[in-house]
Amino acid sequence: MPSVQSPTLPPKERLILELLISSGPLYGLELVLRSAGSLKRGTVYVTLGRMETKGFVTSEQEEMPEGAIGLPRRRYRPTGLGERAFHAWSVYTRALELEWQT
Amino acid sequence: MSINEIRPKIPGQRVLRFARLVFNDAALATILEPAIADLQRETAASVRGRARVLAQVRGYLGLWAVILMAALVPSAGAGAPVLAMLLGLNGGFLVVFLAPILFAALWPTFGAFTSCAVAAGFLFSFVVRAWNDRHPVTLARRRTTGKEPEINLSGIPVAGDVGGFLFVVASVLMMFGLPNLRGFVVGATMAAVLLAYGLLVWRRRHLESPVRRIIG
Repeated sequence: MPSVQSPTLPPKERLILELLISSGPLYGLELVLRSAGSLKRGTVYVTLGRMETKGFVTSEQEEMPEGAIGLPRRRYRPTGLGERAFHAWSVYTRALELEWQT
Repeated sequence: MSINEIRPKIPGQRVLRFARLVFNDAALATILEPAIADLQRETAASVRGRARVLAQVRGYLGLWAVILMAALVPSAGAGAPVLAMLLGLNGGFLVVFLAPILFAALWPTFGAFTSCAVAAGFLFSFVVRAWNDRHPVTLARRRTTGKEPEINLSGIPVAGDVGGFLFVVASVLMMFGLPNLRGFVVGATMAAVLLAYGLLVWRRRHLESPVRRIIG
């Protein structure tokens, strides 16, 4: 019998989606600062890249002001799929909590 | 007034140059460049002095954590190029690590000759490159096969029969004929067996079919 793997939403991806849904588009470093230590600088960009591959977030480069130096930053926003996945996961976990409490 | 006084120093530029050597464009665009851009903006936004230094230290620590993870962890989404190179998944690139070991082992016998050959090879390559830059090839171009040329001993066809076995035995006997290399041959054989076993285990766990079907 083939094994069917249930879809999961890892805690860091869940947190990133929550922050993006509640705060609007954010840069990677802003996500780190708003997560109160839950997201690290060393892993947030890897997680965001993975979420972009999954289709949970999308990103765009900022418009560089005239005369600005350095690389343009990348701002992330949740996709419709990401928002639906987050809400579905929230409903699922709440239902599980209720089951355990009863 | 020097150039350094006119152009402010941008943090992360050297790291970006290094990353461009190691990672492909997709990994650069999605993982490395956003991290460097945030470092640059955070540094620029912080006031001068201690706060700026702390911001840079925090930023660089995070940046190198990103680079290490992207270079070594397969699930990071950047292809783990350094891990692939260390495990020999890119074929001939492993020669960069094996060549110095072989050179050290051969030193007592072929040291002077090898050094001269390496120096001559480097010099010749620079001369050829300089000449080629001035006289670019316009007629004969290498066919783009999608595979870079490389020195890969595993690509040499050796039949898996008695002839191939004799080839291997003769090669080993030739090495044993040089007393200085006996220890190297024994050590290299043991290391090769261990490496082969490690590669087999790793590929069984990570590679998908059809390679998995062949070696699994």
